[in-house]
Amino acid sequence: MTVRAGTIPVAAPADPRARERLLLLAGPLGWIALFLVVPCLLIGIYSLFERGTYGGIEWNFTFENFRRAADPLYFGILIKSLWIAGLATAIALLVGYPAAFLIATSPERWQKLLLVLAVLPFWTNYLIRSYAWIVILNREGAINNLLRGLGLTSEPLPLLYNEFAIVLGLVYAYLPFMILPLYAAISRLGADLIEASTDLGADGWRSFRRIILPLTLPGIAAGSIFVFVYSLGNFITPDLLGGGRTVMVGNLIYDQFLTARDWPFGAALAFILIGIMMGLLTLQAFLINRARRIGTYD
Amino acid sequence: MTALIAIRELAKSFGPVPALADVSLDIRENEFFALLGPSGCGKTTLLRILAGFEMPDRGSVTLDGKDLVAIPANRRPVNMMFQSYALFPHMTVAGNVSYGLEMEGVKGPELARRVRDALAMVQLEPVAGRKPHLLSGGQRQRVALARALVKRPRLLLLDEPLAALDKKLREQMRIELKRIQHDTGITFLVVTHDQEEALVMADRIALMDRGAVAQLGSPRELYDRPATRFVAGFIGMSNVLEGRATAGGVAVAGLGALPATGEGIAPGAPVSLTIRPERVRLVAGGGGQVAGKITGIAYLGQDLLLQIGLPGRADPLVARLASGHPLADGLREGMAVSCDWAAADARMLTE
Repeated sequence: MTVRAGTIPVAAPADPRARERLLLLAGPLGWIALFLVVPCLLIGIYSLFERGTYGGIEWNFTFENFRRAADPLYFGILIKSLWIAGLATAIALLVGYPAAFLIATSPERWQKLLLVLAVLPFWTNYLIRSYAWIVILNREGAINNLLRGLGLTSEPLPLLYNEFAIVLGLVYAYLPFMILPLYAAISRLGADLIEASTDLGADGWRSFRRIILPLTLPGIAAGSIFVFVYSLGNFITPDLLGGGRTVMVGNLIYDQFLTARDWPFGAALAFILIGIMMGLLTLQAFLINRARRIGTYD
Repeated sequence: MTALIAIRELAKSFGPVPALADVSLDIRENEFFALLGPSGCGKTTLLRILAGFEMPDRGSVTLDGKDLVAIPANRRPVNMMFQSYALFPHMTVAGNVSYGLEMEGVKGPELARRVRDALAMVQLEPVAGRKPHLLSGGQRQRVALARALVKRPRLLLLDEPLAALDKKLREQMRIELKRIQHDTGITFLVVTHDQEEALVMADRIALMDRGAVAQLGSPRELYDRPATRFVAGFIGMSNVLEGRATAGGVAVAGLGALPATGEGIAPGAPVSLTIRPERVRLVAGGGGQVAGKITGIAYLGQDLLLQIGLPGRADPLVARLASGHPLADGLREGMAVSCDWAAADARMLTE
């Protein structure tokens, strides 16, 4: 009888590096458990009890907080937040795609510089950048002064403290999150695929629609979900640029915890928000996995 | 035969580096033409100009007498098979093949029929519904070929079509490409750095060196009558002996007068004598023109490669003889041997 190696059922030898790997993973896993899983559990638990009179929790089990979140007043804010985040995402995509395309197709030595320029705003404090927008957008701000100076408008345009200012602020803040994954997807595409499409008779538009767009879809999904998720949870931009009048769900949660001292209701709203975001991030992971499987992403 | 493509004084530089220096050549209707040369010789640049991906600095290219350079890449009756294959990963095999026809506006039953025919030609019907990442390297290569052929271009460009295949498949596909070219009657222009590939497949070869055509001719012409030392060295193996031309051959220092032929070379001119290893004959019992000692024997199956050390020369003379040669069995390293060749088999080259 001949015995071939690998056909004998023996116990798999212990991977000598398994212990090392576990040790290396322990740090990050511990970090995630402590600062992500535990707070989420706490939020989940808080959302299922009654509020204390001066903040904190009364340990009486209830679904009241979730029922209250469905109230038209709060539900409306959630819908409006989804709308604003969606609008910001759409605009970021329309602005970010051509930018990413330009960067990915420019000469190699320019690409790094252009990427750094795209990411540069990140190196400045978020609050300072938001205040800068107030300086630019207000009634006596740079844009209004310029328009009046040119005689294009007589009255200052209402650019600040409205939905427009919030969307602008969100697009500005999160555009790099759109550009980076799109850049990665477009530069992975390879010039030869576009050349092949041209060679087979496609003009620029048809090459874009049939080849470039479908193959950069994972990048579009990744960038869009990043911008959407960050926008949906943002409360600083609506607060500063929305003037407190247009409230997003982030502000609502902030208020429940710090002003209204209704922790359980704030926790319920946060839990709903986390649920939406987790759903979207799972979708993103799924889309990228699928693209990887069919070889359009690596 | 009529010229399908006429290339005249075509020049192209990338920065200070000239990639093409005034290249002129004709590609005939229905021929299998090979652009052969080492990397950086300009063959790929010429291919990309024909495809429309690069614009020449100077010169002209016409197809059927019409200016080709003025036509945008997507409207040229020219298709290309990419070295990387450049298959669309999100489309099936059939989708890849039908893409070019869809761009032409071919629809319905005609589209289906032509895609089916193209796939049948390269024996890919069973995998028509698969995505490229599920195919073997050989299958991908066939998809790329079918995709480029299905539009029935006037000229098919093939950029190193066999480079990514393993040796055995590469040898099969040479014959296969030749068959497909014959069956379709489409003019093939193949770019390759593999001289054997060019010799086997092409009707004519343009051997390129540093942006210019070093020699243009049939495989036989290039092999038997190389015009320059570069051609003799690039195509096949050659022994090169430097010397001066005499009435009936070449006078080589230390070896005396050796037989060779060359046209229009003045006696006394410095020349190189080139002789193919398989043209070197072993002479039994001495008395040949060149005597030396065997310094190495390589057994190649049907042939033997002998390295013969010559007195006072660093490079050995290489001789190739059939394993069945009457002297073959008795050969040993260190043995003294004598050899010669026919004057017609040795070429005198001045460049």
